[in-house]
Amino acid sequence: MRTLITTALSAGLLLGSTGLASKLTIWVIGDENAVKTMQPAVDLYKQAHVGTDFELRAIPGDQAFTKYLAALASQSGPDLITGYLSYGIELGNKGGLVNIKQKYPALLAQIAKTASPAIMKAITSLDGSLYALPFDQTVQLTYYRKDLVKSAPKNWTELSGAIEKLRSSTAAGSGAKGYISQWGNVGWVGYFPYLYQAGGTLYDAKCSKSAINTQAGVDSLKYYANFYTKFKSPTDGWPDLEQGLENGDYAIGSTGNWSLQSIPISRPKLTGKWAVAKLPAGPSGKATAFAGGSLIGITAYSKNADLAADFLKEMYSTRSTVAMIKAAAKIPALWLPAGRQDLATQVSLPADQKAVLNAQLKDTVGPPNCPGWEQSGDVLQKAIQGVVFNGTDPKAALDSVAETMNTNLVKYK
Amino acid sequence: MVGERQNVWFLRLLKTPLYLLALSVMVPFYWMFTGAFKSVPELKQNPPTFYIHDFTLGNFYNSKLGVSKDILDQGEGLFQKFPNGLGFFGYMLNSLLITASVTTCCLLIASLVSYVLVKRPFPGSTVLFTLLLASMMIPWEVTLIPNFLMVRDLGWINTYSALTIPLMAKAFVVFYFRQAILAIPTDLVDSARIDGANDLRIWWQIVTPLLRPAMAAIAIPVALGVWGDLLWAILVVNDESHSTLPMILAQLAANLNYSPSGAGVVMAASLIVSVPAVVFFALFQRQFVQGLSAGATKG
Amino acid sequence: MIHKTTLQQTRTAPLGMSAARPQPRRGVRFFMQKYGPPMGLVLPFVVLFVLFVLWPVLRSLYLSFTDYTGIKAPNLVGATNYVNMLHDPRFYKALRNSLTYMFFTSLISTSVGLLLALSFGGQKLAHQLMRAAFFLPLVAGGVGIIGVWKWIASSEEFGLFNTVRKMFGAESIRFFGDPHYALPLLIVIGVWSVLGYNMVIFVAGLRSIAPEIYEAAAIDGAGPSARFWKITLPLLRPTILYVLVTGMIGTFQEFFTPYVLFSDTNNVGGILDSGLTLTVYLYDVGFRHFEMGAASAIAWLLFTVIFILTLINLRIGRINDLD
Repeated sequence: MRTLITTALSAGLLLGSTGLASKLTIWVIGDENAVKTMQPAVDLYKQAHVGTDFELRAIPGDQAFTKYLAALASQSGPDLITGYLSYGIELGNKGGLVNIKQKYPALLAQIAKTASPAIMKAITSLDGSLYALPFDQTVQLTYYRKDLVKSAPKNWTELSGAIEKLRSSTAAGSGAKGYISQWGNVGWVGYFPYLYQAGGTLYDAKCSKSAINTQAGVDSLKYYANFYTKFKSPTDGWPDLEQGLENGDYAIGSTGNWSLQSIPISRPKLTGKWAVAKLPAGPSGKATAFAGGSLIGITAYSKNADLAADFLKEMYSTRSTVAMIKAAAKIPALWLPAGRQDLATQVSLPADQKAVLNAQLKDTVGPPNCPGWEQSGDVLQKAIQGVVFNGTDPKAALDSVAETMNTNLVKYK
Repeated sequence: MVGERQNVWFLRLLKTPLYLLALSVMVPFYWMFTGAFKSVPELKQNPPTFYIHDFTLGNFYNSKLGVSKDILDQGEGLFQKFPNGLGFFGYMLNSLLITASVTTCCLLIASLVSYVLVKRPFPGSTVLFTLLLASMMIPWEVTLIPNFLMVRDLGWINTYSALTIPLMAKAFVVFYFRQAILAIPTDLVDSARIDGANDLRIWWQIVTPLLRPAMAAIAIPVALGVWGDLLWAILVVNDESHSTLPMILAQLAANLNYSPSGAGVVMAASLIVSVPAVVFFALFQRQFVQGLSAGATKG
Repeated sequence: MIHKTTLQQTRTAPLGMSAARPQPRRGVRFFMQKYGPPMGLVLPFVVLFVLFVLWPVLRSLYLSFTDYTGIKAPNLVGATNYVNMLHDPRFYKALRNSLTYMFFTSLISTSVGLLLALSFGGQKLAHQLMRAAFFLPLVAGGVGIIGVWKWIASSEEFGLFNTVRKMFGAESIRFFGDPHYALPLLIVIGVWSVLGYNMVIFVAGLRSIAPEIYEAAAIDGAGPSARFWKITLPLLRPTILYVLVTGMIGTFQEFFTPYVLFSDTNNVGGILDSGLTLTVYLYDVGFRHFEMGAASAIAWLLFTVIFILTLINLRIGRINDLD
């Protein structure tokens, strides 16, 4: 009852103050499907708040940052945006997003209880500012053909051993091409889990300097480069993992959780032949995966910030979150709420897959929240590619990356 | 005689690779055309089909949408997309309106300048002429950022003004018209003035009719440039109601990276966008060639 | 006041000789009467030209010496942006890529375009069809068709090119997974898109050569190859140079193809920046990071290169006289 009164009051105030302040424009990164996923939350909010209007727009990922910056520079645009995890700190530092910690502490306190800790850490600035809330998340998993590989490799040695064994066979459809990686292929996102599995990190705990050129960093890069130099994994930006598994060229691979949803639907030939597992554990014993995803923030120039915050509250409610998971499943897509990680169990998956997914979700690290990472990520990407394609010495490559990272730490502080 | 015949035979042999080249130049268009009419399952097929096996209009309009439970089936057709926005035709109308208004205004104001520069020079007109000449060397990248800032400061973000007015002053059009106006006898202009006609009237009643072929030719590169522009539109427009076709195409094509299943709709859209241009080309081939060769120096 | 006297001078100078200054100093009213209407007519264009061409150029030069990010007020930082640019390995990579792309694309498209014009320059239907075929990319290009190229060149099994290669037993080429193939792919698409244009310009150039010259040469006993080397090529020289230089200017500014082919959500240049051109680099700095000062510096460097190319072009001679 109390919330009803406050929302009615705030809505009334907004209506009274500006006359037509009851429209929220939301830009959703991705394609039409991203809009469809958010739609149920909007519908539920509209039901409860008659007269509130919404405009949802899909913003293609490759244009999104440009569009958000252009909107910021012109001080006109959406009230809410979703974006990749780095957008919060980056846009926030430029004055583009409302600091939620400052302006809506109650909302933050509510979300913080249920959100993915890895994502929360990734989007919180060093000074504690939080310019956006976790929206959804994706996590890396191992996919394999259980008819071609007896069991999922549990550690690095088993993984290399399995690939070697597969590659020694010559029969078509027996996984003779070995291993295929999709998400973040030949780049820092692909390398990231190995770095953490080896016990390394990108920066030290306080973001005071880069830690990438440590022994763990070098060892994991050597191991990672082997996939391409020794095992000849495909090097395209986005190899078709599902097809590779289906036609039996590859027997083991790694990509995000989305394939859990799409393999059963679009790869009927794989029925009963595939399984999913946690990533293999590294020398440190950890099987850490990279957690990507997106966040949602209120723009600093929004005239309806309070209304937007009120909508967010609804969006994070159990009924909206579950409705969004269901709407995504219809697309079909596997949507994992990052602000309500407790509801990740609501996704409709076979029990064994759900167990693997939830186990991996507990063992993730998001992108670093250190200053200048956005500018340094590209340099790491190029360094990894240099090792793979040009045979650069891993240690030398990482030393030079560390130097850039340290410079950027100071430059973008 | 024999030598000559051998020569012809030899020439034909030489031309064979060129015919093959012509065929391969057409391949992307063939692929686009067939892709637009293939069903989604066929588009996903490995290896791809070289011609349409399973003809469908579903990429344009899927009448069975939501009826079939089979998820492998078609999704929404092109004209069913963007239900919250203007719909594909709405964006097309936007693009047509913008292209038509920019082209018209561009030709009118440029022909005025050319007329004045040639027939009614004034003190300082040589300076203007030199500036115009120099401006043709400026790559668009140089003016992009300041223009964005200018449009922002004028408060034109999300307006048709932003999509049209900054694109209207084109120096290469002035130059193209200059050639044509130089050919108009000065006596014709002078006698009209003696009859009491003012400059505006002379321009409208004498100059523009004579400029018509030149206008038809130069309209083409101007219009094609506006029609295809993506970057400027992305920067200055961020609401549904002002979106243009290239923006929508880019949005549709963004998914092509990941799988070919969205390709049907992208191909359908590309086909619809290119058909008007191709029809125009077939009708006005000469003007196309003339206009585009003049537009080569545009800055 | 200074402005007015200069106007006066320019006005009287040409008149001075013949009319011996009939009525000196008629003042502003006479001036406005005589030049007001034409100046009024150029006003719409001039206003737009100043606002959206001239002023932006100057502003961009100013911005290139600032740290402007589009949001906070700019601070002058001297030549920092230029210095940073010259220390950025990505800049050199982009410059090298742009130059390579420019060189090969304009060279191939010019020579093949000439060959095509020589072979299909006639009025026969077959020739006209051939010209139309090569011209099509100019007419019906755009975002969608670059998407089609991307699809055709894909390494996956639905990629047309690799499917055909496999039919001949060859291994797949990873155009997007191997840094060595980025530029060749760009060059192929670049040539594809301008070939028809070069072809028709050459056809026009060839037609402007008087047939009598050939007839005279034939009477003198010159064979086809001698006629080509001794007549066609020298007379076509200005056209060839024009096509080459405008082609270089155009390809040096190429943005669209490399952007559509090699950009994804967090990277624009492809593997090891193998597909990064200067304009894409500029876009990356200016509009993905909104470092508008730095981007303006790149834009001015680009301007300098194009300025030099245009000067060469102007030296070569008049452009519009082809038809």
